[in-house]
Amino acid sequence: MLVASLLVLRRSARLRMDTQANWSEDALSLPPGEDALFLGLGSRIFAPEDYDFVARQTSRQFHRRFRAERTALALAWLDQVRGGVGGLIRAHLRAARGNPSLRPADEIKLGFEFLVFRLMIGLLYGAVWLRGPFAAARLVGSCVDLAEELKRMSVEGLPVAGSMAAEIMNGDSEAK
Amino acid sequence: MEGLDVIVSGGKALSAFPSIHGKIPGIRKRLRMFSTTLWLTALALESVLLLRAFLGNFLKHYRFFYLYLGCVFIRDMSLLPVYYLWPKFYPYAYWYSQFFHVAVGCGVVWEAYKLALSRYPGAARMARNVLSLIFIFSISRILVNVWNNPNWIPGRSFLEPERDLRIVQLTLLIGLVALFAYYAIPLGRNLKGIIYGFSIFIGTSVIQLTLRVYLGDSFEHLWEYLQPMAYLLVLVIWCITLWSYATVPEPEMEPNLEVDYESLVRATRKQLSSARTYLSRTIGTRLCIFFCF
Repeated sequence: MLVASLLVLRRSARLRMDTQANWSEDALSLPPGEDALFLGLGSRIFAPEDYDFVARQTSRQFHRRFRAERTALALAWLDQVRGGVGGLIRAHLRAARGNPSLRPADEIKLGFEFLVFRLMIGLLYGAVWLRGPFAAARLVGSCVDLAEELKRMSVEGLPVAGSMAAEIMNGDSEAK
Repeated sequence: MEGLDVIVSGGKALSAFPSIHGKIPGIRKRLRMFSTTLWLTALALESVLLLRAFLGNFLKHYRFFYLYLGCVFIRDMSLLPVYYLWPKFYPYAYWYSQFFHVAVGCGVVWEAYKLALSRYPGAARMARNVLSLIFIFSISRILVNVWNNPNWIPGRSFLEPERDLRIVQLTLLIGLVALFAYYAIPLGRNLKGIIYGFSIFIGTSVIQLTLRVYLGDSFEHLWEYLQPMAYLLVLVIWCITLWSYATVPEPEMEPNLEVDYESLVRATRKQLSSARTYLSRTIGTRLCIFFCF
């Protein structure tokens, strides 16, 4: 706990000199259409069309090299998004700390959302690092589809369970 | 001296290494001299700190901290003759005065909060809410302990009450430090030194007291010398960081300060939400189902 406290104090000094906050301050002031976090670039990096084209038209060795370089690009993009959003939050905190009408509940909610975002991007980073951007997207997609299927099955199962319970209760009352 | 306590067992005070007490008087004498050296060194460093602050005219900037240090210095000076002339009364004199120091120590935490956050009303408001919650939870835990444990009452046992009160101080300090880091509050050399040193002191006290409760006398023999040495390290840190007065840095001109808080939160959440949505679209899944709320 002591070591953590010392590290946390040191980090607060480093955060003050973080130049990415300036970048995100610009992001806060941009008109709605502008993409200061280069988010639009990601759809091109993860698009399977290039991968399929290379797989069809080139040798296995070239294909493997393409995948490695596209993985590096995807990881760099995820880093950039992570850093950009981190800078956005830091800019918010710097503005909020001096604002007397700060609401602790809103700050805690925002902090939680940011934590979930960091967790999400961390998991994606791990999946991309392990499997590459295209396989990671397929893996994540399969997990989401499986979860949706399970949810659908549990919801569909409820009316059946309800009618069975009703039958059992009716049977009991007739027996009495 | 803070931390140079003597074991109380059934009302009798035991010195360190009782198994060799009667066998090798030379070793016992050397250990006693070492204890005295630690004690006198601590007294010297405390007086240097107080004198430096008095001569530099910055006692008024850190009132509670210097009040705490002054109380410790006075107690150490007055307990020195008690330790050597009336050792039977030393443990009681030490422990009863220790609770007063715990209370003044809470004032040091409050002073750190006041000095660091006086120019940041938003962060101060957050700190008040969060620290109040932490305080309520910690005190509730103590009340539950008191209810369940008949030995908790000071007089029957000193270790557990002091440990629990120190835990309250430590959790408040950790909460405060976490807030300082989260909002990137600039602290300045003096305040950083006070917080670093106090954290080390409270942390080592909690560790010592917890291990003493669970391990018993076997641990105390070792810690009787480690804790005073940890306290000396704290005093050295304070001497270095509080050698001269350093102002708390002024806040930089904040961007968007004229924007009201509602708009600020709305804009940030919107950006965060669009980043999350883009990420989902990029991966080509409905990932936001798990993470949207």
